[in-house]
Amino acid sequence: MLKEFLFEVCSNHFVSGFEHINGDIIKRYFQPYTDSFEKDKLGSYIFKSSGSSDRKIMLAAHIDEIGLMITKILEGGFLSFISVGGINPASLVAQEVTIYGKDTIFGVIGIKPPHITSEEERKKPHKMKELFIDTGYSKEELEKLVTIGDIATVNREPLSLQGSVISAKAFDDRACVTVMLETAKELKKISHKSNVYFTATAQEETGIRGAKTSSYKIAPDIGIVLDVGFGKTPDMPSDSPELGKGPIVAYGGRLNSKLTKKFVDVCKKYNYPLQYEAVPAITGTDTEALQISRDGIPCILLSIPLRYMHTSVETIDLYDVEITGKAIARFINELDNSDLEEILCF
Amino acid sequence: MFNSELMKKLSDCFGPSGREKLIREMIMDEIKGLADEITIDPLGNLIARKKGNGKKILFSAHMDQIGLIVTHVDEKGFLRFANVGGLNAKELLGLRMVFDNGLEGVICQEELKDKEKLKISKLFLDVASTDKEFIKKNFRTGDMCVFKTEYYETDDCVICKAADDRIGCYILIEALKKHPPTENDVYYVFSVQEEVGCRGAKTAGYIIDPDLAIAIDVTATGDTPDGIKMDVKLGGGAAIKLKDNSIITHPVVKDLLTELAEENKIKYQYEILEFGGTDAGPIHTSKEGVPSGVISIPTRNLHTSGEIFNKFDVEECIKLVIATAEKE
Repeated sequence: MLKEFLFEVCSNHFVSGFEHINGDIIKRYFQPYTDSFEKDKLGSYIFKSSGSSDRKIMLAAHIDEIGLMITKILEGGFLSFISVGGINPASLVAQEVTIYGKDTIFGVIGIKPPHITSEEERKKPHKMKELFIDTGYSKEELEKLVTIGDIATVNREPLSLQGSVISAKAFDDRACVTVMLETAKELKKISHKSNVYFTATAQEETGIRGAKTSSYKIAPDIGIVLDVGFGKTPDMPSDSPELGKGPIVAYGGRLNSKLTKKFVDVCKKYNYPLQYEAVPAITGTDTEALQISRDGIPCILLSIPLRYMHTSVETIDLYDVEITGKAIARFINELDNSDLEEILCF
Repeated sequence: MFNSELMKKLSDCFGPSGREKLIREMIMDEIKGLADEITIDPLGNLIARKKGNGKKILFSAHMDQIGLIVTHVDEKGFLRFANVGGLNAKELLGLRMVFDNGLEGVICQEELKDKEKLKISKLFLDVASTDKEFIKKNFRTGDMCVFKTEYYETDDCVICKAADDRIGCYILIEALKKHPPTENDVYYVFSVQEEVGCRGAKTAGYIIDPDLAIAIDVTATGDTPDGIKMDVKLGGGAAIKLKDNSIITHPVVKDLLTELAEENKIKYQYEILEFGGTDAGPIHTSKEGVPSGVISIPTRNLHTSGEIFNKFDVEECIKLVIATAEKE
């Protein structure tokens, strides 16, 4: 079920600022396991699983993905674009894309043939400004179908590699939206006291905006932020977190150390594998907004190890997703039976 | 008809970020009697409200302008300074500056071998006096100054300083004068400290908590020789922003502004700015979020002493603001 959801949600686009278009998919999967649904005004999806106490726990994973935005229709039917969120232009070369205009249009991003690319040009990295989308249409035809501001995404069907390792675009951060789905599923089985808010936040990639508005709306007692972390590859430092070895627990100034310790203790008690990272200051995640929402929200940050971040071949191990979801359900259950004030007091 | 007198007054009025007193007073005087309620929030935003029982709409144009702040007055009477808002050392060299007390200076540089390495820290202000007492009496750390340039216009365009964003203020004042009969609860905000991080808009958005917010601000153009690649041009009408670094315009707001422009035969152009931000940035993430957008005035030479905009574009922006104010 997790894989089915993840593959379906990654086969559809949720480019930052346009998260409303395919929202029905998320609702279809989350609603059977939750009690109510609402959105904040920026388009974050908030599914609530009601508990018997007043306590509010917010889980946050962003639903939006990086994408492209059309800026100009050029002579010959080519399209100029900018990125929505951070994209390395090199990862766009020789990709197929879909443009969501009045119609859905296919296109490709090519580069000059190597035969006529000088030694000097080859040394220089590609710039977004120099790339364009080729649609095959004439300029006149294209003007009827596409307007400035329309968005586009790279085409990529999710792919199963060996075992539970899978690859697709937008696992950042839908792997973690899937973690929330697993937690919702687990919590459905038990009667929990806390009210749990599963929040698929909007516009993280363009400035952590949906987390700001949704956390204001929910006003939770604690926050559990879920994002992806840099998984180890041959060209990464040897102590990088690895796929298949559990979520990465973050320690740092943005996170509540006692709450983090509680999570670690729960995982140790139930034998969930963990990896660790030190994030001294900026986490670059929804934590930035949650931590300082209203009068402050104590947060923990868990990351799913992921290779090739912000490309169309992001790769994860589904095992990490599943056990993280289960571990969070355990954590919530243990918190229900603990004095939260005692944990949170400095 | 373009109100040149008003625009000249707005452009000439002193008001760098954090020192908006004079410009606020000038605008208050200009809108006297036009609003049902005029308030000043704790950060200094001027908020003019036209009361209604309907939708709460916030329009925001910032009063502050870019300028310089004195960081040190040396023994010989030369002033060192830092920028208030985005300024480039190369563009500052040789400019005349004026303080709120009317005293002036000219920006000079240390003797540099490599002119390419010019930084603001290598510049100083010469206030044209060898009288130490005069200097001591009139200048101290924390004083601010702004460009000293004359307002100039042709039949269709204007050159002036601080068009960013006094032209936005102009548009809101003119729209307020023609405020349409409507049930909407409309707030015309003249905000402070936009140039240093959209700070006034943050508090104004929080206090007002609107259903819809529209910032009125300048944007760059792609119509100059070897300029930036951009579809916006002078004379192309009101620019409806789709994206900059501070906002992706809410799809509902994009459609609303587009439909209003088309219904009312207002000339418009879509704008995607690859840098910068406006008051709509902090407002749209205020509280639970506010569907927001920006009506931009295409402007050349942004953040220089001679910003250029087109009067026709301004008229179209005013029409679009009024149409938005009365939309149910």
